[in-house]
Amino acid sequence: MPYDGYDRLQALVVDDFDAFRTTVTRMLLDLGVQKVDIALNGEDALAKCKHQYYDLVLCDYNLGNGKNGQQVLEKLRFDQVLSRQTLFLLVSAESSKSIVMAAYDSEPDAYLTKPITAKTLHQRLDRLLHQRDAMLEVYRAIEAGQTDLAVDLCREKIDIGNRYASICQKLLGQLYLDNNAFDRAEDLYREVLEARQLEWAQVGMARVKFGQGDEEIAIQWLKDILLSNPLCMPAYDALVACYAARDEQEELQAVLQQAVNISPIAILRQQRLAQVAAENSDYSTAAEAYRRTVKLGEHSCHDEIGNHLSFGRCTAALFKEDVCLAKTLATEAISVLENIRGRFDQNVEEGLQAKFIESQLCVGQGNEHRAQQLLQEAVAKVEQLGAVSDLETDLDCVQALIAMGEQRKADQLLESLVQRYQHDQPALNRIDRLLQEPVSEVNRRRVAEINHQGIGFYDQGLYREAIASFKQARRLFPNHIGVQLNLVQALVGETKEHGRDESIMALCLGSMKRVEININPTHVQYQRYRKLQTIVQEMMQEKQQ
Amino acid sequence: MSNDKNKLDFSLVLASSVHDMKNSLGMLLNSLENLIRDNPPTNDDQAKQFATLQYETSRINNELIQLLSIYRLEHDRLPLNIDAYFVADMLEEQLARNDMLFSTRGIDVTVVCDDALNWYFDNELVGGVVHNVLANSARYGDKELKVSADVVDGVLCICIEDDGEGYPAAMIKAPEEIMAGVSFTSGSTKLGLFFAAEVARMHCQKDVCGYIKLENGGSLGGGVFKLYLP
Repeated sequence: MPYDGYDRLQALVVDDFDAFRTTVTRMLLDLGVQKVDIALNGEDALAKCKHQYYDLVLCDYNLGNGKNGQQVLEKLRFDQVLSRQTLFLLVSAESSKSIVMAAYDSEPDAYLTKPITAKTLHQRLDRLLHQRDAMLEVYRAIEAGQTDLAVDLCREKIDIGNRYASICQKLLGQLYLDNNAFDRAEDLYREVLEARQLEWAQVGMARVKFGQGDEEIAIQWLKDILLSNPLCMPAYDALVACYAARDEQEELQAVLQQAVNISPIAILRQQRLAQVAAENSDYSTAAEAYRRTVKLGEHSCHDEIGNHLSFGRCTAALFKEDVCLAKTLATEAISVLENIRGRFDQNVEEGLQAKFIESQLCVGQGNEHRAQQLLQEAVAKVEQLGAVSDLETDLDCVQALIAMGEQRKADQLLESLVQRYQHDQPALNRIDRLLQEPVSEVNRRRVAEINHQGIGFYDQGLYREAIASFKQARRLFPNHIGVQLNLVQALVGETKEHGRDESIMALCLGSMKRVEININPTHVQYQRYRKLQTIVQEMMQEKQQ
Repeated sequence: MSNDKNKLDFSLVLASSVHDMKNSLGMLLNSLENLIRDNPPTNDDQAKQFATLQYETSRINNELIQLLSIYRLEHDRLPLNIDAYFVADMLEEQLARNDMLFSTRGIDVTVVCDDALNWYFDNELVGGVVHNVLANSARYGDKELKVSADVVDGVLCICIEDDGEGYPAAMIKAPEEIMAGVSFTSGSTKLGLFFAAEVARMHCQKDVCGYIKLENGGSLGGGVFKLYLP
């Protein structure tokens, strides 16, 4: 069915290639489009869209230097420049599927694959414009927050059974989920699934179960969906929500890692992986993921100063685990930190954090002189200010002092922090991560409980369960020597029982390394540490034979 | 040890190079189309040459796309995105892609499909199959082409008929086994049919899977390609 309103439309064509712009512009003018503007790159396109309303934006994915088409769209939606009335079409030479993987928050209204012919473009536009006009009232209701109206309109269209029924079903399911109407969403998805096992309805059903509190079923269903289609990104995102709600940090990291492997250019997932890995004290994964996040942020509206700082922070932490890897990342991390000022409007605290972090990285690189200089500058600034208000800055300072070998000063600062934050449990949790023994009563009890539970499992010979307990404790208190040694002991038990395993050996060595940094011969656990060290060494040698 | 790491994964190299070729060819096809549009053929001979240029470039392009799809299929990187679509939309879209080819070869196309016919399939993959068969029929057909679609006993049948010589007898017997006899001498790898059979097979509903069928005769007396999707 031809669309008869082309003479009222205004369009924007975005591409860095002249030939494409000319061709598409001519095709649109031939269709009778009233006005066609052109933009040569992302910045140009953003500026034009801010100044003028367009019905159609045809944007190439590849725009040379600067933002790509997906990033232009993200920025437009982020700044709420595009109204629902504007159709954004992403054009590429790739099959649309590889790009679909990149989409995170913002999906274009359609993908067009090159080569574009006049006739295909005409057909696509006819269909999209009819759809836009038919759906406009629904989107307007959603934008105005009139959920009930939007629901009614969707149901009306589904009942009529016209060509927009399927879009309305998807939209309606989402509306129900967003408004916690899980029973209604369940009915809707069940009806769809009775006709056909469609993936979007399967994912929707799993999200219903999650909403109803049945996370176990939701996780099972989502895993099944991913088994038959490992590229189903919405299923990963739903699974992430499930694990996050259950506080299952290791599974959470694993599923984020899988999603990121498949869609490495989605910046928000990459950032989430980095955060979760850092919480899990897995600094090699965290540093690498932050590195990618910073890189992806270059032309993205999701670029944040926190990612730049965290990249440095995790790389600095990595020096305690894997000096080799840390050294390869440190140079890049330092240049990222030094470029922060030109890139962001940093506040005083962030400026101090950057200095403290860079100082640690310089120590790692063997550049003591520069490290000392940065540390002194930052400390002088803190003294000048009197005190800092962000705990993060203080913790970075503690780490920088430790890296510089000024343990006494670091301990003093930690003590004062414990005093200052004695009534702030979340703050104490963060401080406790830096301490060998948790200082807050709550965390002392917590580590004792988990330890107790783990030892119980160990005594019954349930090594795997014991390992899980000690790993959980280690995540919360990575510097706790007792916890680390308990973990090693459980790993040794598991190895004796079930034979050697690479991942277990790696865990053992990682824990021993951590202890080695923190322990000295006067420590009460020193004898035990030496004994376990001998056993682990023997295990390593057996392996090599 | 280092040998293993340095060893090239040839299929990966091939795939990325095919990817490059496909993109270049896409550009070439676009320029060609502009060229023909700005300089319409002035005699039959020219029209024929234009058609050949177009058919051959688009054939290479299709073949490359299928190569890539088969590579992804083998590496589990070809996701199946089944949803409800209007069959007529998909057919129209593929006819539009081949529009220039039909008009330069002077082929009349008839479509018999209910506008409201709604079915479940992967639009991109099935579209690719139809596109390919259409290009083939434009090459081997004479003056007419008929595309029809209908649902019989819960199975969608898309039928593409031409008025050419028809398929060779061996092909009709076992279209799925065609790949076993990839022939370099005949100049055709029959990749298109293999791809079509694979795409059909991926479309399953409960225990029934899709398939393709080749016949001669039909309403136009030439080759008949049928794609069945449950």
